[in-house]
Amino acid sequence: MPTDHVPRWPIALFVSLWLFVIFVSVFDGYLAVRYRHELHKTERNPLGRLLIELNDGQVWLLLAAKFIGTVAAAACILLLYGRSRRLGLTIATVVAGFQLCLFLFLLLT
Amino acid sequence: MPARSDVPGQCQWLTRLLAAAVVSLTAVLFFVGLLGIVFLPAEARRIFNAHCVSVTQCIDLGARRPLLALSWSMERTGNTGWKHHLSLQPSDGRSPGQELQLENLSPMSLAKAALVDHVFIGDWCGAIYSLDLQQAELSPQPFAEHNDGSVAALAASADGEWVLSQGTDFLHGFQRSDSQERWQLYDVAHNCFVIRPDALRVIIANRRKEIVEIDLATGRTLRTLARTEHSLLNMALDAEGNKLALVGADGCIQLLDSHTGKTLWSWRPRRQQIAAGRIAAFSPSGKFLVTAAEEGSESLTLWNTATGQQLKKLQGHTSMIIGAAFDERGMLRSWGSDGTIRAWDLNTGLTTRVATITVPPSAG
Repeated sequence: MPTDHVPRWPIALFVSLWLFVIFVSVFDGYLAVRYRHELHKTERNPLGRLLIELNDGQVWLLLAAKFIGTVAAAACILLLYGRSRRLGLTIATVVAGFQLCLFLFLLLT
Repeated sequence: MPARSDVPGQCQWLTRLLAAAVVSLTAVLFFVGLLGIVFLPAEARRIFNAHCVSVTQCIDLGARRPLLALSWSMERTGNTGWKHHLSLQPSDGRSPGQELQLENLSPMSLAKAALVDHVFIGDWCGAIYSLDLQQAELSPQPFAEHNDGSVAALAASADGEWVLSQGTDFLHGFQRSDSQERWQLYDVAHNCFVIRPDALRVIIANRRKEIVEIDLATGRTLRTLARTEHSLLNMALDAEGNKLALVGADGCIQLLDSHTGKTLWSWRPRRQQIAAGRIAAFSPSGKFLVTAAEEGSESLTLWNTATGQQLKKLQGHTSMIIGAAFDERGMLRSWGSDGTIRAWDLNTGLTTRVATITVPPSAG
């Protein structure tokens, strides 16, 4: 009796990429806390700099934005994957690629 | 009735959105917790500490004598600015240190004098004091003064007759016997001067990237030893005055024969062309050199001076290391902006003793 064989690796790949995206984002947030005293000088993202300025040089507003942004982005990727697996996997791969670049940048600089 | 038929679809969409948000939030919190378990205990200690304390210099006063530590502290909240502290720290690191109460003095730099328990203190205002630590009631004696800013670096010759002091613009040479300034040099790179232990000479690095030997008594240039590609951050001479270590702003470590200026070996960082720190200190035998590690300003590298081989990485500080020195018995100590002075076991590469400088609330 023939059965529909659904390969599991795309699901595992998607979950891994999705978790990696979240991990890098949380690690970035940790570094923001760790180097909070000098972040107003070292932050390169203009939006990040603006949030630090709005918070009188503190990083908590930036962290809140990072947190909400991470949850929102992760939820969007999940929703996309629910609607179309191929599209969701593609978007997750692209975002994970960006996050990998960010991760390497954070580690090497 | 299209509106009624859309209701289940909207509900389903909302449920999916909520489910995705909850799953995402859970994943984010999971990683926050994971990183928290690893990193946050140390961070929490740092955050809830009322003062941030940084040890900037430490002098070993001799066998079975305490260490003299120079530090500054700043309240984490509030606008009181930084305060300078001088304290005696037991060399075993087991008991708390004792802060020296020196009225109206903001010490910036220290140098060991020739006499036992005597030190020179460079002040924020450009004054230099001598202090006898054996006195029951400490009273710093004014020794000399210069008018180009604070005393950023201070050194005394082995016989105690000459004191060098670096201000914002000049390196000043003072004679101990009459406290008179004998000479001043304009273009000496910050912290880049060492007094030869074997002759009345000083080796300096100037801002033209030259290593120059000058006469200690007159400040006259005697000869140019070498030239460097980049500006220097620090230099150190071994106890016998034979080897000169240079730390470049590009992170390059160079060892020269201090008599001929010949390069014995040099090393360049692979990853980034910037120095992790300005540390350079020789062991008493001259066999080892310690510098900031390429990996970051929180660790040190121990070098074999004969071969230029890296022997050990010393990791343990939780913030930037500001200085390191070997005592006469070969014990390496390092200090830095985590407010600690660490003693190292060079065989294992581990910290053997840690003295943490604490600031009482009233002194903060």
